[in-house]
Amino acid sequence: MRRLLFYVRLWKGYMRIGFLILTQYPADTVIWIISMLLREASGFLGVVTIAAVAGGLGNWSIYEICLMFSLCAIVEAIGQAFFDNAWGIGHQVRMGRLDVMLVRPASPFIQLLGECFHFQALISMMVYVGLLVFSVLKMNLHVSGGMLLFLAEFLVCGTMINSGLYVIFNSLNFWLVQGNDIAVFVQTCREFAKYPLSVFPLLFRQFFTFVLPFGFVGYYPAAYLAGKMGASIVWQMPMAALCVGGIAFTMWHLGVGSYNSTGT
Amino acid sequence: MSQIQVEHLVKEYKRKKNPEGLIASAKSMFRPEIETMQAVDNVNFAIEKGEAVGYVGPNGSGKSTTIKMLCGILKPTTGSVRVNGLDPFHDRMKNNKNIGVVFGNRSVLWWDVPVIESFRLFQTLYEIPEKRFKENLEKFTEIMDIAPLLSVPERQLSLGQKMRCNIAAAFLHDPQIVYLDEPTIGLDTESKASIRRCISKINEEEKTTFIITSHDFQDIESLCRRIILINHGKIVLDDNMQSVKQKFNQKKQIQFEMEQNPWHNGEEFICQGVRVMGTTSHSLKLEYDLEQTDSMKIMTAVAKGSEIQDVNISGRDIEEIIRDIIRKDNHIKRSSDVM
Repeated sequence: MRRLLFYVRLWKGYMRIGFLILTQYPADTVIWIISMLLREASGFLGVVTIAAVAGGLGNWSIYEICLMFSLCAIVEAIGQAFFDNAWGIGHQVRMGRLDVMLVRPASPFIQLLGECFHFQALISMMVYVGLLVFSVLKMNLHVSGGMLLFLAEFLVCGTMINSGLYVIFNSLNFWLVQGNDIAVFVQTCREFAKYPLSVFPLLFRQFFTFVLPFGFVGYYPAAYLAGKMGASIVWQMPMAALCVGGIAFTMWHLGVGSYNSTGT
Repeated sequence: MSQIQVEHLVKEYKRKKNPEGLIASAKSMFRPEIETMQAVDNVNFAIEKGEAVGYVGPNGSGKSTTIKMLCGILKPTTGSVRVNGLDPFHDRMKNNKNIGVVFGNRSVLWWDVPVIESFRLFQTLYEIPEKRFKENLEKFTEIMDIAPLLSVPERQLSLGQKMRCNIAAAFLHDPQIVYLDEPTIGLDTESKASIRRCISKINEEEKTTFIITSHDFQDIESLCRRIILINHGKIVLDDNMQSVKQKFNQKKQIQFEMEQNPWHNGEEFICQGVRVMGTTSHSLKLEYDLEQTDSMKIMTAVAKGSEIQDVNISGRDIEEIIRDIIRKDNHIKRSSDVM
């Protein structure tokens, strides 16, 4: 418990510094928001255009696709805001920066994440939340307490799966020294998660359920909200999140254990 | 028991052999040839509380590797390290509370924010009580002379100012042991001198144990009373600075400037324990053994033959002594490799 309080205080300290950095470079902040909105939107606009012309994809209407996209983008934005330095693992290892974290009395993983925040992502997240509300209204869904609870569950589990996968694949940098390519490949795969998985062959669907479970950050929860799927997702999603989280935890710890520093 | 106890410490690195030629390189992607390198090879020493120890050696001798094992960054292959009775690798968090590390080649402060913000985060990180933090902040800003820098972001500081802030940061949590890895690397002589002054002041006042690695022997000479020399992963010398100088400084050089050098192109200057290093028509350079003779005897002998205008006596400094020891050690290693 004391340890937990310590990490809460520490996290607040890191957020303070992150916020100060943000205020140092206002122009950079604006450019960052625009570029991130464009990055997420580029893939999305393609899908929406096809769906608009064809009047939907498979049995998915355009608003259902919007809902799925907004879920996917919200989770990514949270990841960018708080856990983006998972992408820095490779750099930290190559530069021997991990040495500095290893001589301090706190978990190096927390220190790693605390090095880099993108609070700007919370602003772009507002855009996606707007899109979510818009699609829910257009789909005439009944907004109930259960639905809000499910969304809260999704935010936690979805973020864990999304950022956890990034941690897993970026941790390969501990052994490969140049492991970023694989992590970028995984992120590219994530583009598929912006489509309704039901339009793809079974093998694809299984891949995005059991191997890289990106299905849980968009398709499955959207399908549940749209009434295309049963309630089993409510317990499947935390299971997937725990699996990914566990593997990410193990990979990181194995990585730090085999860390050999650099020759300085 | 000593504060730091190192016994039979070994660190091996496995390294992929890089073969020559494209075909061989392609083969090695699938079946790499691994060679083992002993970066640290059976090292033993003990350091008492409050000691200031210079840990020196040429590049690639294993000094950084040893320091990293002492701080718990690297896991020893075999052997043991005990710091305050703890194993720094397994009890890393506990050990980290008691140590401070200064990396000469990388800063631990946040680049974009005022220095004081970094210090505040260290307060949280090391759980320093507010009162203690204020006292230490005041004390070390005064010693390091960084009071005007606290409100400046690190990116606007010079290298010397950055280093001073980094050193102050390492002391905020009252560490018992501080590792300084090349604390003056890349600094000009004035900054080096001021950093040395500050460090020795802290050592005197706080009785903190210091372990310093540096390639600048003036650092070592002015800060440390004991020197440990490592070469090819093995300790070659572990002794008091003063006795190293005496033991290895048996020869001195003496140079005379004179009206006319009677020993130039004539008969040789002969005196017990003296060797002629060089002569010109106006100067004479000699090397003499302190055990056999002394400078007064030589001067008298020279003054008999000519009129001395100027004398210059020089002993070898610690850097030359160390260079000599390493050269001899490398020679022994090479000849034993051949056998």
